[in-house]
Amino acid sequence: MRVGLKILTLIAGIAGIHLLMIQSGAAGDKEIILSVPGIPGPYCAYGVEKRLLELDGIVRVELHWKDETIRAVIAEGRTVTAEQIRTAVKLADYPYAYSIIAP
Amino acid sequence: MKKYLAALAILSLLVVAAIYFFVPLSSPKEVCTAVAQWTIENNEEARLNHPMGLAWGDGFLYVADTENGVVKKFREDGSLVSEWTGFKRPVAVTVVDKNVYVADFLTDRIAKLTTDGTLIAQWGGYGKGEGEFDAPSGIAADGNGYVYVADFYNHRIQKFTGDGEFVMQWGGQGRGSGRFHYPTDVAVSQVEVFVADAYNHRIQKFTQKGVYLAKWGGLGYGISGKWFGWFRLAKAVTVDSHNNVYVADAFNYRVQKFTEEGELLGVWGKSQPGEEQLVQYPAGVTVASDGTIYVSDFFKNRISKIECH
Repeated sequence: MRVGLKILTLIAGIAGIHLLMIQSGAAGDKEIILSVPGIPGPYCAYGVEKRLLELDGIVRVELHWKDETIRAVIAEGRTVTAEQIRTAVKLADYPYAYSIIAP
Repeated sequence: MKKYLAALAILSLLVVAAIYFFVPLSSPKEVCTAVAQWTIENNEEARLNHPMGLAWGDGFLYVADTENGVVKKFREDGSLVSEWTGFKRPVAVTVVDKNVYVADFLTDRIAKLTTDGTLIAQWGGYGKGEGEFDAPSGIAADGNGYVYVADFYNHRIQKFTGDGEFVMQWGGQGRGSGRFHYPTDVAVSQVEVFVADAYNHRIQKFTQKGVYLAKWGGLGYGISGKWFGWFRLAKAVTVDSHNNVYVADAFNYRVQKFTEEGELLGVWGKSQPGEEQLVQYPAGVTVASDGTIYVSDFFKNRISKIECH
C-alpha cells in the first residue's frame, strides 16, 4: 500500500513538474502546492519551508500537516519556476518523494 | 548465485554478531509513568500548535510553541503566565541566570530575553561563518553562562558568551566520532556537552571545549534501531541535576533516560510491539528541579509530565 502510494506520488511528481502552472488564487495570490505524502516530522517540513522562503518571490509558506501539503505563496508580479522549487527542496535535503501540483 | 547467497548469509551473521557482541542491548531499570498532560482539549490556555523545545527555570516551564510562533511560560500546574511573540519558528528554548534564550529556526536568530519576556539581545543571521546559522535547532547554557547552539544545516555546535559573542565551534558533517548529521539539540551538564546527533541516531558527549568523549545509540553511523538504548532520530536531549541524560527518541515514540555514561535507566512511551503509543512525536524534553520530566508531543499538541522511579 505504502509502496504503491509512493510510486503514484513519483508518477504524479514527474507529471506535475512538467505541467506546473502558477495560478492565481481566490484572493489574487499565486501559489504553488507541494504534495508531501507521509511527511514524517518537523525538520523535514521546516527545512523545505526555510529553503522556499529563501527564494526570491516567495512571501509566505503554509504547512498543512493533515493534507500533507506545503503551500508557497508567490508575490504579485513575480515568477518562481519549477526548477527553483526542485532546487530548494533538494537544498533542504528532503529525502522523500514529493510532487509539485498546481492549485 | 550460490556464492552470492552464501556471502549474504555470512554478512548477515556478521551484522547480528556485531549487534550482540559490540552493542550492549540494555533493559530499563526504572519505571516511568505519565502523571499529567496538558492538551488543547483539557487546557484552553495552552492552545499549543506543534510544540517543540522545552525548558525549566525558576519554577516555570517554557515552551517553544513552534507553529504559533511564540514562546509560552507556564506554571507548574499548567496555567499560562505569559506568551511572547516575535518569532517565526521557535524550536528550542533554554533558561539560565534569569535569562531565556530562544532558537528561531527560520530566521537564523538567537534571542535573549528576561524571564518576563523582554528582549535583551539577539544575534545570528544566515550563513556558514562564525556566529552565523543555517537553521538553529537546539540551545543550552552552562553554569558559567556560555550558550551552545546546534546549527542544523551547518552540522556543527557553536559556543557563545551569554551576550552572543562567538567563542568556538566544532563538528562538521559526517558519520564518524565528533562529526554530525543534522544535529537537532544540545544539553550541558556541569562539565560535559551532549549533542542529539539526530540523523546519525546517536548521542555524542563532549567536553565544554568541544573535545569528543563518547557516543551511544546502537551502532551509530546513521544506523537506527528500535531496541532499548538505540534511537530512531534522537530529536532532543536534556540533562538533570544528577547528570542523567534524557533523549526524545522521535520515531521510536519514546523518551529514554540514561546515565551520563550512556547506561540505560528508564523508558517512557511505546517500548514494546503492541503497547499503547503514549507519545506520537516527542519533540522536546526538560527536567524540573524536583525531577519531574516534561515531554512535548509535536503532533498531539500536548505536554506530558513524567516521573521515573
